[in-house]
Amino acid sequence: MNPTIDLTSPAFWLVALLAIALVTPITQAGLKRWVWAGVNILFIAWMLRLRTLEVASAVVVAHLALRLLACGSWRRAIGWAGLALALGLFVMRKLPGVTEDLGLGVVNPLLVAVGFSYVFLRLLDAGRVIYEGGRPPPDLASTVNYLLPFHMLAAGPIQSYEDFVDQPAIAKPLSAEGALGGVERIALGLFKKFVVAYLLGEAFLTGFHVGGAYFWFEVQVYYLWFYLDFSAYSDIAVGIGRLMGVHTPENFNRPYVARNMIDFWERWHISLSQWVRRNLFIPIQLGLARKAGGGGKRALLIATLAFTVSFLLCGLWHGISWPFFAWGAMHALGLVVTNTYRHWLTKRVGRKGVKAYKEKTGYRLVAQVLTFEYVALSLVIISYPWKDLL
Amino acid sequence: MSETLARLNEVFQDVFEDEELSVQAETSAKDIDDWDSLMHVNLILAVESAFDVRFTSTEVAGLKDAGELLALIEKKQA
Repeated sequence: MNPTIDLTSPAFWLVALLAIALVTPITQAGLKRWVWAGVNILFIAWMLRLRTLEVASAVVVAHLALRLLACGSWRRAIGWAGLALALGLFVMRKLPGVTEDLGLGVVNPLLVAVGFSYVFLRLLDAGRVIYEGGRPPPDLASTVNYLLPFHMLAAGPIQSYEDFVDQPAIAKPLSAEGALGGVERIALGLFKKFVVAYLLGEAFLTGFHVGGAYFWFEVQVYYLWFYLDFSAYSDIAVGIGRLMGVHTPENFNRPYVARNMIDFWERWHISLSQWVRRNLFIPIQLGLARKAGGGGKRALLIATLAFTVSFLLCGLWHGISWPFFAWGAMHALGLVVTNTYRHWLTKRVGRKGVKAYKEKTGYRLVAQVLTFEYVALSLVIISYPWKDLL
Repeated sequence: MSETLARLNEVFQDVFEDEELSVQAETSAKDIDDWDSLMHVNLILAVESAFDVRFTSTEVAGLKDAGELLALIEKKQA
């Protein structure tokens, strides 16, 4: 079996305890960076039983590329070459068949194990920010810590490079209250994943193999299960981060109360939607608006294109397959409809009118139910046993 | 009010079509109802042309309030 990050594995928790014991008490910034990098490499080597040398070499290559992006006349070429290489690895991660055909069968399990889907996003974020001169490139230890933070490898969150650079090198000393908060957060994550989500799954989920009214019931339960299981990973990562004094961004904020799809993406997998905003939506929107000689009246059309391209790519990031493409298209459509409706409503009733409209409980409830169902159905697309229909 | 802030205020009034708008350093998207992602890009392009500067997507994504926009303009013009 290929190694993957498993929260039921004692090794994960041993590394977490070791990290907390070693990293938390350090008060010297340089030492903290290196010890934290050591823990991350140890995690890769020990828990994932990986070819440490290959992973370390890849990190060094990424490190050099990120440094070169900050200086020299070759930085543009380095940027494109780096992007092509990262994309190539991403495809190898998502399509194991391609890797096999190329005779590089060993690469895919390595990429799966280190959570390359997430490493890929962090790499692109850092590359863009450094290329644009927004922040300086990392030193070697920081490259390890930004790309391979052990507690964020499994399912995020995706820390932005700016946030990573801007966080205090040494966090405030951990108070008893802070420690309790961190432990509680981990416990909450474990309870959500291994008790509530587990029981819901065992009791009600059939993998959409039952039709009729039960299908609709399962659609509702599946969204709840998905949220509990997914957000549990973030709870555990945030809790461990707090105990180590390593900033770990929040990823969820009660998504089930979202009243439209824009609101939903401000509450669900927040670190991913922020990544999409920084790296796809804004660059596409800015680029198109500049080409059009200013946003002006075409702003809505430009935003529509930016939403569509961004979320189709976001779908394909989750998986290079038709169901994920359809999922991305459904979310893009939801965002475009919300954005267009909002624009139309503001034109029609004015800002004060929209505000008054938003405060009406009845409208809010209808909007929340519609959004909940729309999201729930989008999750069915990616999990429905389509093969059974063939 | 500094000259740059006064000019920025005019750009805001123009973009949001509101002559009563008075922008302070701490004015953020929360204070101006129309300041959504659509208007954000219009605002950025209007500021670029008014001050003859150009922003990167990193800068645009990171902007939190008018004060940061002001600081960025001043940095680029220095």
